[in-house]
Amino acid sequence: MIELEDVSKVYGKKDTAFTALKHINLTLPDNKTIAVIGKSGSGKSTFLHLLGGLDRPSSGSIRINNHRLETLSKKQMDHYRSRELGFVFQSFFIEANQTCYQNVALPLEINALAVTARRRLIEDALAKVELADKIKSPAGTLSGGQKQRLAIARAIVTNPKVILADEPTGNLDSATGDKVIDLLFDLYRSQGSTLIIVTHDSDIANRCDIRVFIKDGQIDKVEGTGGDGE
Amino acid sequence: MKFRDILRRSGRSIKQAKVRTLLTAAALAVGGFTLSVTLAAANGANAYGAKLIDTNFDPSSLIVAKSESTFTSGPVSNKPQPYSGSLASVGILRGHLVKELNQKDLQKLASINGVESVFEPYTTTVRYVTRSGAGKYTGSVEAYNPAITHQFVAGSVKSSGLTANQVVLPNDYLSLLHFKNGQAALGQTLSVNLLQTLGGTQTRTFTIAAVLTSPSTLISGNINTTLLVNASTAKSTYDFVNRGTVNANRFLLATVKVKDGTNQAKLSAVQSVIEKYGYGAESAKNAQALITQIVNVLQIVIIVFGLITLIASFFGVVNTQYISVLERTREIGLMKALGMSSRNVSNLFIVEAAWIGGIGAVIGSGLAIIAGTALNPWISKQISFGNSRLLIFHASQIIGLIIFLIIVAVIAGLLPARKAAKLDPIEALRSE
Ligand SMILES: Nc1ncnc2c1ncn2[C@@H]1O[C@H](COP(=O)(O)OP(=O)(O)OP(=O)(O)O)[C@@H](O)[C@H]1O
Ligand SMILES: [Mg+2]
Repeated sequence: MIELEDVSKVYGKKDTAFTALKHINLTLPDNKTIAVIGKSGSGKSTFLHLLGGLDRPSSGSIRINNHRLETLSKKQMDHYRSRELGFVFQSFFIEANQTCYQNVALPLEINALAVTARRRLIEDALAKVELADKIKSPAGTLSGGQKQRLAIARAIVTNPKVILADEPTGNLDSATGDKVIDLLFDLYRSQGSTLIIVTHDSDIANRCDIRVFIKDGQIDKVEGTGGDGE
Repeated sequence: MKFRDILRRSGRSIKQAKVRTLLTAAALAVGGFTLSVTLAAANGANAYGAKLIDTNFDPSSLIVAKSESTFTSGPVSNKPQPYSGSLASVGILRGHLVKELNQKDLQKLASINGVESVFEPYTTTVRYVTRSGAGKYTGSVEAYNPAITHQFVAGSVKSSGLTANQVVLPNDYLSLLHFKNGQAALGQTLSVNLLQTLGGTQTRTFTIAAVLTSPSTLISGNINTTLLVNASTAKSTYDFVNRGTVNANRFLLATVKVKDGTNQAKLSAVQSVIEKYGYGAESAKNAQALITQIVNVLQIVIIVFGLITLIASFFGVVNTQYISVLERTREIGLMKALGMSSRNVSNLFIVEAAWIGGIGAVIGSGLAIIAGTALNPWISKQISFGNSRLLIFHASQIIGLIIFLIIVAVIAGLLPARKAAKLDPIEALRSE
């Protein structure tokens, strides 16, 4: 269960202050696919960053997986991100100089997983995104779609409860983007986690269980099953 | 995150920035090289000093002069002095006048409580040294001092000492006197011709008991031409040559052997009595301390230069790591977004700096060892060090130096590492 209670986010101070999210109240059930839709600058990424614990709300309270994010210390927040979340970014953010294996190993290293336990998890994750044959290739040599699949493998290798994807197809052509989205949905089904996708694409949005529309930092409407926002 | 993973991750980053790493490490290597060589040179100089003392001083003896100034400033004064019978011009002090010891002084020294014996070398320049069928060569004769460690290429000296007509011959005379080698010279005779200051001559014949190795140390330079004979022979030779001159029965230095003198307390007790009587006295330890002190002062000077180069390379490491942090903003942002703690991000960069420090230190000290080992014989030749080596590398010092340079690099890496740790992941991920 994800619950936002009167969450606001203000950037900057005094005269330069800008309110990116205004009094958001929202409840999202577990193990659903959720699309976050809105115009550029509406506050979608801000919303995702707050859920991901990358940033803290200016006011209000966020509850995810029984954590009250505003009460977590910096260390607990790091722990929360590394154990319970998977991130997929628009511009991949893979380490081009490292091999695919090393890229996928990063979250496991952060979680201080024993070296012997890593190999199988990494191989599984790469197999799921159909990059098993690229395990030793430097990530920089992959195509755009492959890079995003690698990023997805890195996001799922820890078997997170929530996957946060910020415009995962934004840098890909539509055919490649579709494949990446298919993959994300397949993985969601096999892993049984919550998948939150920020997108502009209504086709993608329509495949999700729940659609959250954001407009000027406010929830415009929530569509779909299980959604019971304001 | 496991330290092992941090080590490997930072190791990979270092490998990817090979040229930059090597250039930064090179700056540290210069400091490491200088410090390695300095430490090695000081080791060599001190070892040489110790050897010098060992082969020229008996640790249980004191070297005594008429006055302390013989050891310190040398000449009594460069101004006119009130006449004294003990004042003499001494060659090695560039013609300055110093007070010399006479037989009475030697007797007085011998009578001091705790003194075992007073040894006087009676060094005498002879007219020539020769052997039938060989040419005539210069040389000098001196009493054999059993308390000093001598090294022989052939033969040996019994603990009872030399007999009246035995001689210990320096190595350099072997070929001059047509001996195949040291062994062949043993038991053979040679003759020494003496010329009295007042005109008389005398030839003495000696049997060769042992042959000295060429000295490996600078101070004993004249040993190459000094034949060692027993004490009474040396005295009679001295007396014969100097009879009727001012030099008769006058000596610059005497060696006072102290009973149980290896016991430092006993040696010091006798030394203070001798000094109370107005004589100058030096122990092997005093002499060594002087050498060590000179070496240490020189060492400090060079170490200061080494440290100055280190300061430059310190900023090199700071700069390199700063650029590295800036270049890898996105990577840092990603790692933090994925939940890597600030401490681990910081550690990643600190370990990277440590890698640079370690690489620089190993290159610097490695080159120092290679260059030092290769050049040692040449250096020894240039500064007349004999068989001794100037550059002596101690593994413990090199390891200590490497650790020190790693610490320097780590300190240099602290600031950039802090910057990396403080990066806001959202900001970092936004930078494209
Ligand atoms: N650090 C910041 N300081 C000031 N304003 C910010 C900051 N981050 C975001 N904003 C502002 O907050 C608003 C919401 O930004 P956000 O990135 O969430 O938009 P978005 O919906 O993700 O847009 P896009 O679809 O273009 O990615 C924007 O007007 C943006 O300018
Ligand atoms: Mg956005």
